[in-house]
Amino acid sequence: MHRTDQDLIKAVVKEDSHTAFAELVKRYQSPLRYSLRQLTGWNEALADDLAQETFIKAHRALAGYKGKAKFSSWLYRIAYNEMVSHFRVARNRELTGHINDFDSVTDDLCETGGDASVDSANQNLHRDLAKAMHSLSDNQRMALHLHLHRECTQQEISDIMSIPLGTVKTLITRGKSRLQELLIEWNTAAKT
Amino acid sequence: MNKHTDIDDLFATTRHTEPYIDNAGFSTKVLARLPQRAELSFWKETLITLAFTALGCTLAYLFFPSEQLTLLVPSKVVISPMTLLTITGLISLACASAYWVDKTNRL
Repeated sequence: MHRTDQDLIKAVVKEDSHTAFAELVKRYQSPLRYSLRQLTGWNEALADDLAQETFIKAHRALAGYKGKAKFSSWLYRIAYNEMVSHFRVARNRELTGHINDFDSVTDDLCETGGDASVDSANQNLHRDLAKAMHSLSDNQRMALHLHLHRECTQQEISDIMSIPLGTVKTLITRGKSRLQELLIEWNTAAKT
Repeated sequence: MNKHTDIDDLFATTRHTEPYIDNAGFSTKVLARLPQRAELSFWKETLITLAFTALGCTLAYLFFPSEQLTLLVPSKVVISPMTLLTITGLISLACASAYWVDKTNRL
């Protein structure tokens, strides 16, 4: 029997059901981990750590989820905050001479259930796009990803990122423009 | 070439070829980090219940004015057949109501 997200959430909140929460994790782990890989320059380990943190925080805050937004949007909001917080700490560390997280981007595409169906050109595209996006600011990256990859409306992005609608529009326009420049450089570099 | 279309197309391609990332123990790791429910074993729960019951009985025995209570107990109780019938009827009614509530999930 298929249980809706709402049924599962109710079971987690009222009965503290770990089985129901496991079902929610299984349902959303792949898109969330993919998104975080695209947002972290395809750093698989970091993306998975952030995804884990996101689910743990979601579990803690689930009682406060009122169902006004889609569950996925609510999850992305937590993931976004996790990512921003992580990179803030990483930048501070970088300034004080600690290990740089930005250099730990892996070159292998993640283990996937559909490896056979994803040809190598597409594998490169996923990785290279993620790497190019890593040069954008956290906000630009998130806004572009949600708008162009997850096809969220600008209003949804505004709600997820807790920023004004006008800022979302600016982030998308500038992000696209910057990404276009970066990908031209990438194309040139790839050809030489 | 329209530069916006380029980026849109690129994202459209990644969107359509987004790989499914295998769970491969990911959800197990998440569940392992969740706070564990404070579940007591049957024996622990029974022992705690018995210990507190014994404690309660001891305190009651020590502090309850049992002599005064004994004086309150009537030495003779007379129940007429009508009173007995009324009490039995009320108990039956209460049982039937409880049964109906349970069967119809009214609570």
